[in-house]
Amino acid sequence: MSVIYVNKLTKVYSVVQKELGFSGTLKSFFHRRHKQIKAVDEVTFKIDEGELVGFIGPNGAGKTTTLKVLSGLLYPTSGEVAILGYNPWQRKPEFQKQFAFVAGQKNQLWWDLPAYETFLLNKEIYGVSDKDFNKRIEYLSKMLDISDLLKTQVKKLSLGQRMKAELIAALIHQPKVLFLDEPTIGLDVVAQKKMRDFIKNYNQEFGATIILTSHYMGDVEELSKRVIIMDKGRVIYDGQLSKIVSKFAKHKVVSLDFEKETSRDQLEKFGRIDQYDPFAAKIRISRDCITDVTAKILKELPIRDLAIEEPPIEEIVRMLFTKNK
Amino acid sequence: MKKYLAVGRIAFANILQYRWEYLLVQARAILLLITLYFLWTQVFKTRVNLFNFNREQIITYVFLATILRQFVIISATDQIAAELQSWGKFFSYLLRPIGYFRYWFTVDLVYKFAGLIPISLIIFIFVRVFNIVLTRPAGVFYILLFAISVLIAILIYFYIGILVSTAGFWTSQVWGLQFLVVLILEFSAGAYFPLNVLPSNLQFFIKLTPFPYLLYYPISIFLGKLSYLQSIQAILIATLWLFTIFLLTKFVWGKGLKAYEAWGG
Repeated sequence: MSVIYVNKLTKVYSVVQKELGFSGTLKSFFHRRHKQIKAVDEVTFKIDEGELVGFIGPNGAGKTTTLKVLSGLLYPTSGEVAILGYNPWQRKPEFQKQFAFVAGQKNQLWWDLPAYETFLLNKEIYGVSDKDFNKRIEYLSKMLDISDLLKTQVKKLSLGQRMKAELIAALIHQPKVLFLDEPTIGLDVVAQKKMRDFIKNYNQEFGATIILTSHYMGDVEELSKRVIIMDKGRVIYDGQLSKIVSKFAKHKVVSLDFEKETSRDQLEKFGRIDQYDPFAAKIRISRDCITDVTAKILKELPIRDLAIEEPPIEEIVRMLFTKNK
Repeated sequence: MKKYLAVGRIAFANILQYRWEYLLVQARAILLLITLYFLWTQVFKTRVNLFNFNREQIITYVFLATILRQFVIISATDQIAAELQSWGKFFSYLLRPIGYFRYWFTVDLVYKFAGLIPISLIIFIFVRVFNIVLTRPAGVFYILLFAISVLIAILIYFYIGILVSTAGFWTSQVWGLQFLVVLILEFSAGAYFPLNVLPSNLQFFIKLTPFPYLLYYPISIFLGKLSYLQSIQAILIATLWLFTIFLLTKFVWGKGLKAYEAWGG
């Protein structure tokens, strides 16, 4: 049985439309026009135990709305949702004790108190035993390298340190299902790397089922084998990250090093030039004729080295989003 | 139960973090008390009875009102508005296995006791040092009725506080509204003087609202100004108000949660 089961989930918001200008303001004071916005449109997917799935899509694609429905904050307009067999909307304590939702821009820590106080509060809220609590705090704070900051007021921590403390607060009850919404937002490169390593480790060590959303393709590329790509409320891709490329990229990139100076004109007949200098270049060549064209290049140009590469995932994803506009 | 103890502990720790604000609130209560004390002492220099109150009764009223104000009207519920604005924290409570209103009631009680203890101590010292004569409660049964009416008053104010804070679902400008409500409420609850001081038609109007049940009626019961029957009647009306406000708060809260949904994607 899958841990997360979503079938034809739809969420429609009703938003008040304001008319512009002074007369418009008066008009909408007396008569409000509502507009229906479909934030999530018949989304279907299943996630098995222990999977770490990346959730990507441009702003407003419906990722966060989906996560909110899955965590029980929003009531779905239609469709079915089951997490660990529970309907999240019912907000049953048995469900909540196995679940956590961490969002990069939001916080549950008490601002004026040390993070440790919030941990203690969560210990009681979730009914964690002293033994488990101490063991987990020690493990988590060591992994995240924040042991010496647990007694510092939260407002005096840096963004990265606070994010780590948020994560600990959310993991004290060792949730089986974890949603991470932009966990690396605003973090520097080193802190991002640390956070990724931690998430990876946590997933492997405890077999937690994790959904991760991020704007940084790097996060998703490094962490998840499977991705779900959303755009305008719909799932436009669900599958292996590595297969996105072969599915959507119509071309490969051939990198060339030349023995001697080679002009642009000589290259142009083989394909579109991405990068060029007289001794090296990158050209795009259609997948279908890649072998023929490379053979020709080897024959006709003074090649020192040649490599065939897949285009970067980031580019494919960008292409997918712009194509859908 | 254990989780609410933990909530109480962290709320107390939070109050101690803001010790200056805490001390200022206490200082304000003391200043108000001293002002009212000397005002009424002057008024009673030339007469024995005013509005059916003698000197001891009015001084007792003022002292009790100051103490009860710290207990009934001091509340943490005004912070809910701010929490709704920084919605991450609010959401985190909905996601955890804890009741949101029960959570706030616990925090509320901690604030009330933190407000009650210092003012009671100071009044105790004040009464001893200046040898102030106070009116004793009219009897054991009156003390019991008084305790019940205070309990209901606390609950009424708890839900009024949440009701005002629900404005935070729709707007970020709740502070002004909260200030206005507390101003009107303290005046018509009888926090500064017994309502008997006011013209009778204004009194009549104010007594149609739930506010006098916060301070005026409990203190009147304590002083024996009301008969048993009148006291029980006041308590019953207060209970009706409690249910009305509770249902109204639940209703508006539900509406607010709905409006909240439309935020952000």
